[in-house]
Amino acid sequence: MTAAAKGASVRFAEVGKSYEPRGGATVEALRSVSFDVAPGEIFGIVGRSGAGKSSLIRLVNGLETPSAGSVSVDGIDVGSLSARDLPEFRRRIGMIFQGFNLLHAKTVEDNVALPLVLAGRSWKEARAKAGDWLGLVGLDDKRKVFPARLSGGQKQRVGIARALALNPSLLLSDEATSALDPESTRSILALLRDINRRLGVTILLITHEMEVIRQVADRVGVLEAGRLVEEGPVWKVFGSPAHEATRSILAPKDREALATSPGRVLVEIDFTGADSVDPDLFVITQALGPGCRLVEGAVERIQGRAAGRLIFSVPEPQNGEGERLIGRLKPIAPKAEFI
Amino acid sequence: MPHTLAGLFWRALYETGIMIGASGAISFAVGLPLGLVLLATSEGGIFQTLWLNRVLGGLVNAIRSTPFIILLVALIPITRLIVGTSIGLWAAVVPLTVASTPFFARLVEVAARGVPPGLVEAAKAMGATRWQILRHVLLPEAFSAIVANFTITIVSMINASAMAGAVGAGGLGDLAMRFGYQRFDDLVMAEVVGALILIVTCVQYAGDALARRLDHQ
Repeated sequence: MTAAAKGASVRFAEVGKSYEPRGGATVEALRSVSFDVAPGEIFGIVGRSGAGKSSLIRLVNGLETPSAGSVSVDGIDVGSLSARDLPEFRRRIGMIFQGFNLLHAKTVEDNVALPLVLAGRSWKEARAKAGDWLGLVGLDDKRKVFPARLSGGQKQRVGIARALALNPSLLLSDEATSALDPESTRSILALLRDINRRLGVTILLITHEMEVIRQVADRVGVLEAGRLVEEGPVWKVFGSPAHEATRSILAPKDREALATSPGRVLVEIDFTGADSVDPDLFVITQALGPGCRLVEGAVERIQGRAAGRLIFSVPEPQNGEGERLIGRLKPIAPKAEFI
Repeated sequence: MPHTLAGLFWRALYETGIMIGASGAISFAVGLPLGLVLLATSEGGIFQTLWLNRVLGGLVNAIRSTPFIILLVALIPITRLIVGTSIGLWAAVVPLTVASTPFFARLVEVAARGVPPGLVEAAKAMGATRWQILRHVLLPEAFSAIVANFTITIVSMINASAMAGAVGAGGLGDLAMRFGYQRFDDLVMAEVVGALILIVTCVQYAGDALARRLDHQ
């Protein structure tokens, strides 16, 4: 269980991917996508279903080839690899899946041993090593069990052990927690984080859940209709989303639900995480003035910073009082407005 | 008469056993790889080779659509070439094998097609070569279904072997035809049919049990 020497870097350069279904119009899954994943970081791609996430992650290990641009891992252009070179290349990259994709006819141990056997080790040697990895993911007692007898979370742990079997420098996670309950999701994400820290493996993950990004990613890219519309550190993108798509994935706001009594208006205050200080409620209520009420809101810790929004209702301001109110809020939170 | 008839019965049972055993073994050995080739060379398969798939698929379909009794006669020259004679027990093994191999191959293809594509993708992602995918993923994952389908093949072979009497191969079916049907001996007919039912039931039971043991879904 030697630690990977160093995590791999990934570069997407103007990558496009289009499909031509038989008798159908061309579908552009990805358009001119560019981003870099630094060695050892956890980079998350978030997007709604159909945004092109699956295509994107499959380009990294050559399960699909780009129609335009290039994808490279540690400087190796994946698209230029021949069918002969691909197996060898893929052994440096682990992959885990939403549906786990464990082999039913093999025991847990043999599932984890398989990549080693495919790489030329004996079953005996491979099983011994598989045992080490199963220990790391906390499934030491399930070695001889068949996957059908495991829970979803346990299956994904086997998937992770299998993906790590060949000491990869890059781990691809394709919606790895989407089929799991919230508790298993948390423990799998914690495991991924732990593996990233301990082994230095770079992780590229795709998900449709912001929660997943929030819990593990260092940086995030938002994919919308095949384009990367936003990219940056998670606290920044979450704290002050620049693109409409990010905002809608972050919080599908239902303004209708925020009922206001007559004579009152709503004020939204966003905390972007840009300030290192935590929101001071006393200062906020002072700025809002007497009669302010908390309607809705949440502030969370993202990468140690406070980000979120609070919605207050205040008595409807008269002649210019509104502007002064916003003015008082500015020093506390850069984004404050009537909604 | 009962003594001789019992003798005939055991002899017929032995002949059926030889026919099914020999043809079954060859059908399995040839049909299994043939079925995997049919899947692998098909569109989207790991060894996609459409012309080969069409040639093999066409051949398989042609044999499968030919009635066994016709095949029995049409194959006489080939049978003579292989076993040196066109009559007798071993002469029946050739057409039986030729008829059941494509049948089994199709069933293997269907079974292997039932392996979720995600497993093949996972194998590719872990660096499996195409041969390794066949050997370590498709074959073992489909094996329980293949065993179940081989049972079906054996049962249909027992059925077809009844016609082998036409080339003097004997067997249980032939016994039922000659004594039961042509001599109007209802008792022999009933006994032979009863024996066939028993054999088929045992084969099916054993096949199901084995398939279940191999299935870890």
